[in-house]
Amino acid sequence: MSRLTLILFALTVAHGATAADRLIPVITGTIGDRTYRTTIDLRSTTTEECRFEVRVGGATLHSIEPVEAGKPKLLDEFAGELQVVATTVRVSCTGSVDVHSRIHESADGGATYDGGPLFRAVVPEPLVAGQKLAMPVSGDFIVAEVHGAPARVIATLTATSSNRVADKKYDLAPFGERSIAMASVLRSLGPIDAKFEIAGEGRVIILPSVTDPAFANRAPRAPAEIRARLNAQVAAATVPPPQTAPSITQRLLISPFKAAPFREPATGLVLMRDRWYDPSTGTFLTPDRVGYRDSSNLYSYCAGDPVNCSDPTGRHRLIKRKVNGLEFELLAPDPDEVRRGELGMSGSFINPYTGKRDSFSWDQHESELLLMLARWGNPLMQDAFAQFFGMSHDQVDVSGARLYWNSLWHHKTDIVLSSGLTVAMLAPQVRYVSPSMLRYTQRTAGGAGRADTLRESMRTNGWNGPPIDVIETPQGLVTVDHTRAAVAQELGIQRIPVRVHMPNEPLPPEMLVRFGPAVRTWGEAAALRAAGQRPPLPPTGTPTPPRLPKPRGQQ
Amino acid sequence: MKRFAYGFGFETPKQWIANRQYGWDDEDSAIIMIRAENADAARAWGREIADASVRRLFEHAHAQELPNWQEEQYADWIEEAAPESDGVEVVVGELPDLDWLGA
Repeated sequence: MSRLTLILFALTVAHGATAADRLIPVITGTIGDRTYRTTIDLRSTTTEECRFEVRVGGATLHSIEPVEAGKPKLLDEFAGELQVVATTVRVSCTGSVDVHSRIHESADGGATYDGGPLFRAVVPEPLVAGQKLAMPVSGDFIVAEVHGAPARVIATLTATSSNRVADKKYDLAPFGERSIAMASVLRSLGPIDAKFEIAGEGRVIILPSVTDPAFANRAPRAPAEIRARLNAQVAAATVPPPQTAPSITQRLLISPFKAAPFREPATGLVLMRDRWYDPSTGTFLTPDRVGYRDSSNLYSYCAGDPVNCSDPTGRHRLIKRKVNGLEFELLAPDPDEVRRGELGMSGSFINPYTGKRDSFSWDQHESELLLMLARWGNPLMQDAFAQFFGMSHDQVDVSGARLYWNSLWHHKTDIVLSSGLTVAMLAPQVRYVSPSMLRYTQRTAGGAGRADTLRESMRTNGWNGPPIDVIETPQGLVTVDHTRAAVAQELGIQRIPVRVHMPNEPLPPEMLVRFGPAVRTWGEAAALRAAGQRPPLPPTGTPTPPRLPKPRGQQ
Repeated sequence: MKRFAYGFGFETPKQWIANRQYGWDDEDSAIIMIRAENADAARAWGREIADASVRRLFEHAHAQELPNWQEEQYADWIEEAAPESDGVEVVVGELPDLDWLGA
């Protein structure tokens, strides 16, 4: 245990939240079979004071901490005297102070702790249309839409000398983010005050971008040389360059567990955790105890021998697919079996590190456990991947790993390492549906002669082509391919093949070209198509099929 | 005069290029309110507006070739405008700000 600096909380009158308040996650005490402690790191270039406020059992406690200019202040065992707390602490400082918390986890009752993920304090709630936020800008920042609707961020950047610098507008696609570089402006003009205003239906979070190299040097699990080595190995394995392969940050931004993004300064990762943020209550970080109920199973993931884990039964389809430039051969189990929990998934892929084919297999229960491990950056997860890839322990950074299983949609399990490498993924399903059952994201289709060409072809050959891509939503199957479906419906074709994607499923590289670099998932692609209609359609489209031009000669 | 909603499909310059390069079929669409004596007059004027507006889109994109919207044969439609419908509105013979589809 490192030095102990208890921060003493006093009972306080509830402190009204202001726009300058930020939230930071804190966990202390023993929850399930894990023990946690939290370190708070405060840094400022000026002498300031920070006020911490936490709600415990209906009471609101507060503490004041001075911060000296240029001297990082470390508060170890933050809120430790409160015994068990898994919540967020509201932070307000008198000036610009970088506030981070690192949550350390122990599996042996507190004898040893892992490094734990590092979180930066964020503004507590997304901004909506009409709301304004004023904040000093001391570096690059990120604007991110977190609600799934388009938004515009109007920023007024003013030098502290009161000379206006610029008015900027940043348009965000649903779940889109933009990184705003300020370094050159700050260098030439000094400190900037920014006022942000939101327009549109989206909700926007504005985050400072962390560039402090001191934090990277302190990273316990991803030192720069290891990351560089990993990157070199990935590059040698001809993984596509970053501009075509979605980064882990991008992938995490589209994670189904998105609630509020935290950017890990050491790795630049934004971590999304589904249970970590509830803006209506201001409480986060409720760990899923189910994940630790059966601890013996935590060790059962491939038992250190994942090559032999695969147990094909001969009842599965073999699917070949390329993901991020990596070849996968997947045995897709029957969806009904998966839903009943009788069978998981298995498959194989070319391991970019060894150049050999590896296989994998796990069942649904193990997937859920792995999910918990991934969320908490557990070393066991790290061990499993290290063994899986035949790498040394410290070559695998799983702090950004994501894994999900959503049997409500259709089976899909996906683990993404921080290198951006996807290690497992099920191919989308192909179904046959009536085009009248689809939802459409365009009001028109078939221009420039495309409808006539397809009419002629389908009259002669029926449906004669690959499946169209659709996205499964609670409202129904939403398509981004319109002309073929609309012509099929016009001609009375009752059954067409559709390739079903989840809304948060990453787009393949060729579709990134189609929809632009800001669009990263099938759900976003549908929303973009719908937004391109004037007035826009809902992100999940409309059951009204698109209008086609009349056949040539009948106009 | 009656109030009609005239809708039309079109390709943005990016879609125009990508659709031809990759075989996709993406289209945007727009609706404009037109006051006219009858639907035929509104539709005929709507097509002129569509042609001019799409041409302006391509001018903004510095396209080497300006498409002829009417010749390219996109879907369009006319219907009586619902009382609560709003948006850009013109009378027959009047052009809207041709940047209304966006730059």
